[in-house]
Amino acid sequence: MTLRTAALRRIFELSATLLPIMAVVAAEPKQAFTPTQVSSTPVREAGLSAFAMMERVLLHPRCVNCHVPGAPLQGDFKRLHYPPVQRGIDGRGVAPLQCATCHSTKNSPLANAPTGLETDGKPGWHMPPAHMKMSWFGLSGPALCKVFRDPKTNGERSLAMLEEHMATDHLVLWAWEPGPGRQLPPMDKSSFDEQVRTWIRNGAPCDAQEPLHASAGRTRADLNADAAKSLRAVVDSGILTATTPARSQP
Amino acid sequence: MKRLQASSGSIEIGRRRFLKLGVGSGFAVYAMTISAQTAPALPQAGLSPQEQPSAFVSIDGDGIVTVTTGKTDMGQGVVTALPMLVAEELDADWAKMRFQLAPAAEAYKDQVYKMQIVGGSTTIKHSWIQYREIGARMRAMLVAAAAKRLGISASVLRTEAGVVIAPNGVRLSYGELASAALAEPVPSSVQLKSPAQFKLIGKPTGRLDAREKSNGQQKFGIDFSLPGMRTVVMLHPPVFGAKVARFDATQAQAIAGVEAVYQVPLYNGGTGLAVVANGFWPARMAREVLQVDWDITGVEKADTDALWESYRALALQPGITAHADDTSALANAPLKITAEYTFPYLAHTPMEPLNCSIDYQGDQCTVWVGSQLQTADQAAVATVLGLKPEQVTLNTMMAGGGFGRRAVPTSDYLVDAAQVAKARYAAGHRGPIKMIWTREDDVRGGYYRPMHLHRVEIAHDGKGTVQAWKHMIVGQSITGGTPIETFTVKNGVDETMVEGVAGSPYPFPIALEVHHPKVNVPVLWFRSVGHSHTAFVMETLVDELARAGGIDPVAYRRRLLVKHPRNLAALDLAVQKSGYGKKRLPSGHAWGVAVHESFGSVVAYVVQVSMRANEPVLHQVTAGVHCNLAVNPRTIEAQLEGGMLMGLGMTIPGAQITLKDGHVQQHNWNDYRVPTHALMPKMTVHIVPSAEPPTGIGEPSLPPIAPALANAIAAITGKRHRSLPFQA
Amino acid sequence: MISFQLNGQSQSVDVPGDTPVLWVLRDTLGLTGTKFGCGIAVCGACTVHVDGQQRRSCVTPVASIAGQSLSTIEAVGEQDEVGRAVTQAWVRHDVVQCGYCQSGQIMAAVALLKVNKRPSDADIDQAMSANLCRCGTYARIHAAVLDAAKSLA
Repeated sequence: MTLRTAALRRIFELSATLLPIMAVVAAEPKQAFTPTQVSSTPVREAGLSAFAMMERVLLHPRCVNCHVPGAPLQGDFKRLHYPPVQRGIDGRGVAPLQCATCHSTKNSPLANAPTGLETDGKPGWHMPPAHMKMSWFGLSGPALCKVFRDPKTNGERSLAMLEEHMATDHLVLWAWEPGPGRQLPPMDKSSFDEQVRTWIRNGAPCDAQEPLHASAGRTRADLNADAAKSLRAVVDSGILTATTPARSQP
Repeated sequence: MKRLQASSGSIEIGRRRFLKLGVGSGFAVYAMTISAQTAPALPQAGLSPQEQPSAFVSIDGDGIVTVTTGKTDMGQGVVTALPMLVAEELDADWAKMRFQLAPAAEAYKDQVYKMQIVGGSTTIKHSWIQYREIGARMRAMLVAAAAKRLGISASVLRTEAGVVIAPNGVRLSYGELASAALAEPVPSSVQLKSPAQFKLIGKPTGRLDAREKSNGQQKFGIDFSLPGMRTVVMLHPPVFGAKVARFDATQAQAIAGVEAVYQVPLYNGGTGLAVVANGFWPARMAREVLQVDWDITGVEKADTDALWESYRALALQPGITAHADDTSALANAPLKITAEYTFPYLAHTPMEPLNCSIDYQGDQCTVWVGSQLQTADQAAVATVLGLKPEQVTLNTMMAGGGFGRRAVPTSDYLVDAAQVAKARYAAGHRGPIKMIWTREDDVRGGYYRPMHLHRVEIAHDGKGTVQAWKHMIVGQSITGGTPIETFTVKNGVDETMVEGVAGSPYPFPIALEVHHPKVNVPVLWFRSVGHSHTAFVMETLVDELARAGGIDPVAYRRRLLVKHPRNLAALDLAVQKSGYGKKRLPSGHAWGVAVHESFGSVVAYVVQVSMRANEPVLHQVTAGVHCNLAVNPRTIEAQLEGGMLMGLGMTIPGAQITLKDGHVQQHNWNDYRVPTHALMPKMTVHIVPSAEPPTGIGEPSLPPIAPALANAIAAITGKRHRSLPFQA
Repeated sequence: MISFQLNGQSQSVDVPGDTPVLWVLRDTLGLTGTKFGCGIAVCGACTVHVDGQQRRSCVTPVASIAGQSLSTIEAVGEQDEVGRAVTQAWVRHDVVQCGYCQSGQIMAAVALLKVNKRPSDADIDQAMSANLCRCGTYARIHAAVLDAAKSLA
C-alpha cells in the first residue's frame, strides 16, 4: 500500500468519526450552553433534596411514558400505548408503523389525538434507541438517580450534558406544552431547571455515602471543539496531501 | 296478464331522474350507458315488486344488466347475492352484471316487514323468491321479444349466458332484445329453477363491488358532494335529552369558513348546536370554541354503577312472565347452579361515521344517506320539514358498516339534520348540507346494545338432567315505544331481549321472567340483538351442566339436540373438521364448544385455546354453519369471519360503554376498544350442504364465539367467566 | 399557498397551514378515497404516504408536507408494482366487506411490503394492527398481504 493510499484510508476512518461531529459543530446553537459548576463547598443534603424534586418530574407521565424498558406508555395512567407500537432500533418505531406515522410536527389540537413536535421541519417524536433505552420506569430514589446520572445508561452524558439536555432539549420542553388533556409536570420548567442546577452544584449526589462529584464534566460543545481541533491537526499535519514517503511501510 | 304501465312517458321521467342522480351523486356505482328505453322505470303503485321487473333490472344495449337492489349493502354482500339471484333465473352473463342501490320507494319495501329495511339477517331469505321471480320474468319477456322478432314460438327458444338461442342456432343477445322486451307484457306467473339446475347460485363468487372498494373509487354517504354544499358538525348535550341553556358562538363564528351556528331541537326532545361551515375542519374547530351552558335538569342521569345495583335488586323481584314453568325443584335441589351474568352497553361504531346529506328546497327535499331503514327515514325527514313522504327523495348510499346502527326507528341523526336544514332555510340560506358525526359523537351518541343482567338458578342431578331452571333477564326494551313493538313485544315481554333463551332448542324447563326498566339511554339492536348476550349465558351453562355430570360437552349437546337435525349437523361438522376428540392437543391446551341458533341459522364453534400469562390465546376456530342453501359461499365465509371477530371483541378489556352521572365515559376507539388484526385467530368455515331456501347469515356468527372461548378457559383454569368483557 | 407533489403532480392549496391533509384531500381537492374514521389517528382509515413514509393524514398539518411528495389510494394501485400487487391481491381474495377501512389498509400494506418484502405473520400483525376494520376482514387482509408478497418475490 502506498503512503497516499494509507493517507486516504486514514481520511476515511477519521471522516467516519469526525463528520458527524462536524455536522453537529456546524449546527451548534449560536449561544453555547453554560453549564453549572460544582460548588467548592457542596452540601450533600441540598443536592439530595434537589434530586427528590427532580424525580417528581422524571417519574411524571410526561417523561416516564417514554423512559421505559419496552413499548411506550400513553396518557396519565401508565397505560400501554394504543395502537400497539414498538420502539424499534432507533427509537422511532418499526417501519412501516413509525412514531412519525401518527405523531406529526405539532400536537394535535383535539383531545385523545397524538402529540407532536418538529425537528428540522420534520416530525421529531421518538423514544430513546434500543441500545440506550434510558429507562427508569419502576425505579426511584438512589436507583433512579444512578441510572439517570451514569453515562453508561444516560446516553453517554456528563453532568454538564445532562443539564443541557434537561434545560434545552425540545422533547423535554414539550412536557410543559403537551397538548390538550395531558397533565403538566408537578412544577414549572424554570423551577425544574433550578432544581437541576442545585443538584449539580451540590455534587450531584444520589445517596448518602458515595463521594460527591467534583466536576460537571465536558459539555457537548467542548467535545465538538476538541474533535474539530483533532481534525484540524490532521489537516495541518499535511499527511493528507503528502506525496513523498515519510518512511517505509511495514 | 298484467300490462306494465311503463309508458314511454314515465320511463322518460325515470331516465331523466336517473341521469340527474347519476351525475356526481354516487347513486350509480358504475358509469352506465343508458339507452332511451331501458332505464329503470319509476316503481309503479299498485303492482307488486315481482310484477315490475323494470324497477329492479335494466339492460342496456351492450347487454350490461343492472340490478337495482332495495337492500342496502353495509358490507354483508347483498349487492352481489341479489344480482346472483336475478342472474340465475335470467340466465345472464355474470360478467355483465352490475348493481345499484335503490332509493326509498314502495317497490323496494321488504315483503315481510312492509317497509324498506335491511336487518335481521333477512335479505336473502325475504328476497329468495322475489328477486328470482324478477329475473325469471325478465327472461320470459326477453324470450317473448325474441320469439316475436324471429317469428317462432317462445317454447322452442332457450337462454344461456345473456343470449337467446333459436333451434337453428340464431343467437340474439339480451342487449339487442332489451328495449323490445320491456314492451312485452309482464308474465303473471313464472317457473323458477330447482336448486339442481343452479349454475351461479351456490358457487363461490367474487363481490361485484370488490374492485371499486379496493382502489378508493367507491363512494360512501360521507363522500357525497354537491357544488356549494356546506358541512354541519353538531354539538350534542353531554347528557341524553338535555338542552342548551345559553350559548355564545362569537369565537366559533370568527373561524374562517364558518357560515353560522344554529340551536336546533333534537330528535329526543333535547336541544343542541349545529355548526355550518364550508368544510369539515373549520366546522370541527369552531365546535371546539363554542361556549355552552347546558341545562341538565329534568333528565335522568344514567350511571352504570347505580344501574347494576338496581338491576341486581330487580332480578330478585318477580318480573313479567315470558314463559312459565315449574321451579319447585329448586327448593330441595341436590345440586344447584346459581349464576349472575352481566353484559355492558355496546356501541356499534361502524367505520364510516354517521352522516347524511340534505338538499331542502322548501317544497321538496332530497336526502343521500347510507340507511338501513329508508322508508322510515324518508317519512321522518318529511315530518320535520312539513312535507309529505313523496316530496322527499331518499337516495341510498353505500354504507361503511351498519351492524344495526343505521336502522333507527326514530331516524335520530336524520331528524337532527332535517332540523338544521329547516333552521338554515328559515335563515335565508339555500343549498345542500352534509352532516357528519365525529367518532366521539358516535361513541357517545347512544343507541347502544342495552346492558343486561341475567340471574339463573338451575336444579340438576349431577348427571346432566335439569329439574328446574329459573331465569330472569333485566334490560331495557329495544322496541318498546317504537312502531316495531307490534311485532316484537308480546304481553309486556320484548322478544328481542329474550331470544336465545326463549325458543332455545334445548329441552330445559326454563321459567323465564323479565324486567324492562326504563333508562335515559337510547338503545338499539346490535348485530345478533338478544343473542349477543343470551347465547353466552346458555352455552356456558350447558357446558357447566355437562362438566358437572362428567359428560363430554359435545356428547351432552348431541343428546339434548337430538330432535334438531340442523343444529346437530352444524355441531357435528365443526367437531369433525376441528379434530375434536381425535386430535391430541398440546399440554395446556383445551377445546371449547358452543352451538347457537339465531335468525334461522345455526353456527357451531369448536375452539382450541391455551393460556399465556393469564390471557387466553385462541389458536384455532373451526366453524360449522347451517344456513340452508348458501347463495354465495364466499360471503358466508366472510360473514362468519366478521361476526366471529365481533363476538370475540366483546370479551376484550375496554369493550364496554359506561356512564357516570349521565355522562358517557368513553370517547373514541382509544378507550372504547374494538378488535385489531392481531386478535384474529386462524379460522376455517364449513357449510352444511342444503338445498332448502336460505336462512340468515349477517348475524348468527356472532353469538357462539364468546361462550366457546369461555368454556375452553374454564376447562383449563376452572374459572367461569360470567361477564363480558371478561373480568380479570 | 402551500405546495406539494400529489400523486406525481404539483399541487397548491390556499388553506390555513394547520388544516389536516385529510381535509385538504377530501374537502379542498375532492379526493375522497382517503377516509375519515376517528380523527385521532387510532384507526388508520386516513393513511397516506408522504415521501414514501406512511402517515395518518387526519393529524398531519398540510403545512408540514410543503415541498414533499404525497401519495394517496387513488394512485397507489397504478404507481408501482407493489401497489399493483396489493390491489390485485385484494380483489383476488375478495377482502372487502363494507370497504370503508380498505383504503387505509391497502396503504398500510403497501408501506409494509416496501420495507419488508417477506413479512412473517408476526410482522403483518404488528404492522397492520393499527388499522381497524369493524367488518372483521383481517383474515383476508392477512392472506392478501402474504399473497401480494409472494407475487412480488
